[in-house]
Amino acid sequence: MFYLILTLYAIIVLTFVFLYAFIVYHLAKYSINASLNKILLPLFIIISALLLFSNMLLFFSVKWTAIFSQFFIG
Amino acid sequence: MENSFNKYHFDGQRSDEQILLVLHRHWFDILSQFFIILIMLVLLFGSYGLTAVFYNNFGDPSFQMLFAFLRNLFFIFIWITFFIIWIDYYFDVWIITSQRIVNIEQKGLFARQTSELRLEKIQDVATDVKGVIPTFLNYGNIEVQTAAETEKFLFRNIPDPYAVKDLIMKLQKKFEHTEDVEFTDMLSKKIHHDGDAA
Repeated sequence: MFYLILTLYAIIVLTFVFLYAFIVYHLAKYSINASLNKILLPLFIIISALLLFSNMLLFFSVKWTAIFSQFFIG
Repeated sequence: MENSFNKYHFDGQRSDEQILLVLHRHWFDILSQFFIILIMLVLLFGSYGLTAVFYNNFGDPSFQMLFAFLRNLFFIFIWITFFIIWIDYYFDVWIITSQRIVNIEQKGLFARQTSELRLEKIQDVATDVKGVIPTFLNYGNIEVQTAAETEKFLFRNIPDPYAVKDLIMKLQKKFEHTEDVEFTDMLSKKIHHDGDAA
């Protein structure tokens, strides 16, 4: 069961990373205002990386087996 | 006005071309989309209240960690949605330069369309401000009718459309005047040249 959750989570994370990449690409390539880009691009990259990293930490901190046992056994 | 857009640059900008005005849709146009973000944020913070209500059922530390994980996941979703909406708004732009009008239309993250109109092709410019809110906040559409093409060039929900219309008309007249002067110069040179040859 844990591996199923892990697979689903991997798909979600990959989708987020894919969207992050597209947003960064747009900000870097198509922005017409260079000075705004200098602030926005690092801000987006740093906050997004922190959010994703904290989410991964939380995912691996969840005791999935304990939750499943409560739902399906207890 | 010319100096405020010195830091701006767009793909395909010519070396002798100067950006005179950069226009985005009016802020009210994006407000309805940001309302969705606001609802999602309310749901996110409301979930803390729900956890407290159902504390007896889900008070276990493993559930607390699960909820923290889900909230974080939802916040990432909100963060990405916010940027997708913002990119759709901010990268949807009309640029008026000393030579032409460029329209860059951004549709979500995966579609982008660029069209341009040279100032000498402009035949007529019309403004369209409809409704109470657009009138009150002074935003609306501008339709630019071209001489060569049947298709109209449309500025959608831009702020201060009357001032923009005036600027386009002024630029178009200036361009016409420059062309007239150049033509007169060329004609007088030709006449003098022919006279000298005779």
